[in-house]
Amino acid sequence: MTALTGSTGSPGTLQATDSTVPIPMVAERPAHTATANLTRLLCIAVAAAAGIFGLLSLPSFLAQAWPNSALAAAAWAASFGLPIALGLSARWGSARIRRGIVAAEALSFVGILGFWLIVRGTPLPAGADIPWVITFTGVPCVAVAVFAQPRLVWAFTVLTSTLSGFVRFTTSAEANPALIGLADGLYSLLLVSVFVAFTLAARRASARVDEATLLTRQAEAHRAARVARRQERLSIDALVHDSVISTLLMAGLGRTPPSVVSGHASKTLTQLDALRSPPPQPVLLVSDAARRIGTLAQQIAPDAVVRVDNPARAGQEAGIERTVPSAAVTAILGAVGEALRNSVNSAAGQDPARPVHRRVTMLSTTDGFQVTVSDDGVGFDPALVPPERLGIAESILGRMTRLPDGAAHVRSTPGRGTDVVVAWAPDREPANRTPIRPMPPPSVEPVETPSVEPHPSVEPVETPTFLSRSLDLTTPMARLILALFVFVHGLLAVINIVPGRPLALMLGAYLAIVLSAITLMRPMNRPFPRTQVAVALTLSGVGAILMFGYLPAHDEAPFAHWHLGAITLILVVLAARGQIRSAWMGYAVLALLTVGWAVETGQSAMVGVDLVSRHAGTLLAGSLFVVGLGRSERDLRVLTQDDLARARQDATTVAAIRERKAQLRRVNALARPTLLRLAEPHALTAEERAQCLLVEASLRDAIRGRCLFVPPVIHAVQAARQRGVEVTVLDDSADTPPEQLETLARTVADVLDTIEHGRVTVRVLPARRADVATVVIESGAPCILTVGPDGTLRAPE
Amino acid sequence: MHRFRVALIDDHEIVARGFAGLFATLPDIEVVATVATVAELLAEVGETPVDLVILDLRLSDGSTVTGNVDRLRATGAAVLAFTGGDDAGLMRAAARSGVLGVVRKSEPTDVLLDAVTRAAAGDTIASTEWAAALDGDPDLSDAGLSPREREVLSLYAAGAKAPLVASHTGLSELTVVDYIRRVRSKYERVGRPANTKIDLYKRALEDGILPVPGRS
Repeated sequence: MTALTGSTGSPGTLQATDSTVPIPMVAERPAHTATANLTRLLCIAVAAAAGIFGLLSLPSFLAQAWPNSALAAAAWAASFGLPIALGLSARWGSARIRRGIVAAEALSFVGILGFWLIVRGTPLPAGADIPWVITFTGVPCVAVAVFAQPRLVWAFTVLTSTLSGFVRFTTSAEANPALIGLADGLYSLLLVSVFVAFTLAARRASARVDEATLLTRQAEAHRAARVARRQERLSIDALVHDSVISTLLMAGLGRTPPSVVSGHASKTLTQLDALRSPPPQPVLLVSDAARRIGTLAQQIAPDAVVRVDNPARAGQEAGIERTVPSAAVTAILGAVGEALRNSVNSAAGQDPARPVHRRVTMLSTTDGFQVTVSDDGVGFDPALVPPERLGIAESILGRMTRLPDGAAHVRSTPGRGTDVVVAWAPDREPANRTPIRPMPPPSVEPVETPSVEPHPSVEPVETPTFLSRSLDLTTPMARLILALFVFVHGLLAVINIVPGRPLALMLGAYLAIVLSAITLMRPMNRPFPRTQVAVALTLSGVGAILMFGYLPAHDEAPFAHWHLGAITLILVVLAARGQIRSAWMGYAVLALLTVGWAVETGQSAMVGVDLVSRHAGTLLAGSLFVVGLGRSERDLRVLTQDDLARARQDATTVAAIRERKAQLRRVNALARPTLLRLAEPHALTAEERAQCLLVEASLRDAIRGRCLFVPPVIHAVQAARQRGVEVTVLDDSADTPPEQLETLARTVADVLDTIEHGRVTVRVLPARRADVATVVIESGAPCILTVGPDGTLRAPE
Repeated sequence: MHRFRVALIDDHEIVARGFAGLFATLPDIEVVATVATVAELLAEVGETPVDLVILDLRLSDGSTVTGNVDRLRATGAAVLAFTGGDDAGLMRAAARSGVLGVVRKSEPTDVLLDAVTRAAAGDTIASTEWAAALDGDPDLSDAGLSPREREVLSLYAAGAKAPLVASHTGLSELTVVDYIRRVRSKYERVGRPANTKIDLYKRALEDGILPVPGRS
């Protein structure tokens, strides 16, 4: 950009284009929904798992190195690099980037499996015949489970497990590779299913949390709005009673000298005007701010596309409007104006014919209000903008940094256009925030406020109990996985029968382990009771001891130590249900037993360590998952509370502003013309006095007969009063006006139209009574009528 | 002849004086003071007891209905509330503190004069607004009214006066008046429990301890 035309400003205040001065970054779009939180966490968990399994697979990868080492290294790098990239992208990446990474990971994994099947489908050396590629099937599967639909997730899980079974089949050095391939495929399916099921369950739970939070937020906002409206109404009503009605009565009753009446009328008008002037801590509705920015853009750059960007769930938040401090709107308007002027002047560069598209995008979230001005013009290098070019430096960056909670950022690259982002993003720190009081008007005397909370505080949001503990193990999917567990381990036990060893021991071990797994499947949505944990661990321990009694030393068969995997899986489920300590204690005992067995059977202790160590990875992955889940929930709870406070505050302010506007409009429409006339001192005619009393009565109706203050009734009442009928309208329905209000209003108006003299009292009854209203007519023979819920008029017998 | 000593408290003194002039026309009424606050009245009349105080429900000195009524009744005076048509909560607060009734300032002259005469004699002044405020009280059940008392109250709230209520219920007019007197005293007896924060809040709303804009 060559011409950063600037506004004036002293160079002393200049700061922002100097590259040593940090440019405040604009707040991210809020991402603290439970779902977003969970996604981030799962991405990190996938990365951690990839790290663990990448290291564990390194020895077999090196042993099985393919002649084309570059390609092999690329395959290995893709297998573990992509999930690690996914974890890194959890903080900064967009959802699209993450999905792209997962897709790439899934495809490359299937590709590598296919490569092994087609190109390397020959048996590997005995003893080291497990291809590295099938040792981490869970990583891509869980990655897919973080983002995809459940159907697709399960399809992918079955596909990869099947492929890994086939890979094992083609590469196995065993005598019966088909059986080994089948067992391996099924075992993969089992192991991966457990993790995939947890992931999907956590996703479901977080979606429920988000839904519940949103509902609470809406309910809370509505409640706050109701309170604010009521307070505001009472405030205005009080003024009306005190000043407006008194003045009108004074004038209407004719017992007060005209000069006194006019004095009161003027004072009352002043008070009404004072209410209209902006409140001490001025805020603007976001919709008003957006409109102003739209108008500004229209003036400076008529070709700019102006868009109000809705945050993710805007549709569901309809009806909740936010506010922005007026000072922030002023600063943002100034900065946006400058950005647009710069763009109009410079974006086309030296070629005036160059088409430039400009966009102004506004985003309002719980985190604040943000406006982006972008163009696809010639751009510039921000580092090269000389300080004396004050346009961007002072008018955009300086202005926004001086605004409390303001931020601005200019992104531009020569030839690639320019983005100017300005935002008002207050700290998410509820304690430091002074709540915007619902409008104490400027001329108010200090009124003693009660020491009670203006609105009794609400209970904290129902944040779901730990997601990790709400993993339901009684779903059909959980049962299916249990069935698979029983079947797979039965199969593994059978193919590993060692002739000459006591079969009863192995059978007992199998039964103990299966029972241990079954005890976990009890219907529970709460933490496991201690006894349950103890029973599961004891059964597993018994199973392990029996198995070690059965196993001969140096059994190199592929699944000889199937019980270690089975027990680890049980421990993973315990960990995922929040029993991390018990799970690791169980693991420690298992490790000791294994080492003890190795030593007892005359092998080196290292043999035992080697056998259990690879299961540690699985348990570690499960534990990290649940620890992260707990932490992210705690963060989320704080954020949700904060968000709620903000929603409440916004709703209060918005409702108060609106209610005040509406009430003032009403009072002004009703009383202002009369008050203006009264303000000029003159002797009132009888007609004028009557008019004053009519207006007074009307104001009274508006307050005391609120729900019936609607056109048909207003007109009928006025006409009846002009005929000399004395009309009283009372509304005791409080905050629950009758459902068939229109019908009621019509009925009441019709009755009033028939009365020529005397007195009529209309009363809307409190909610939950058989009738909705009563009408007492004292005109000729007095009578009491009732109006039913359907609007029909009845004379009670 | 005994003349009832009556005082008016209204922070719009001009308005109050207008009413004072009106009530002074009654033969058995002597208006002894027209002031803007309860404190002023107490200072002005000193030891001499006042029979009836006509009290504006909203005073601009930051006082509450309950406080004002309590202070006045402590001197032995009966209190009749005067209102521009205030919200029901304020009337309930007044009724709980034991006012004889609530009268709207904009009532026709004959209604006002009748109300003041009867109030001076200690009668219950069951205006429609007063009855509607009591009948619409969500906590009315606390008062333990009998079904008949509730019915009579509802009819008053609908706008009926004693004769119409009597003919509607088949009771004598005297019985109706007696019922409404009992309603008033039962409602007053419930008093103003304020044991919980919520109660305090409700009472505060009733008393109008809310931001009152535009007061001068």
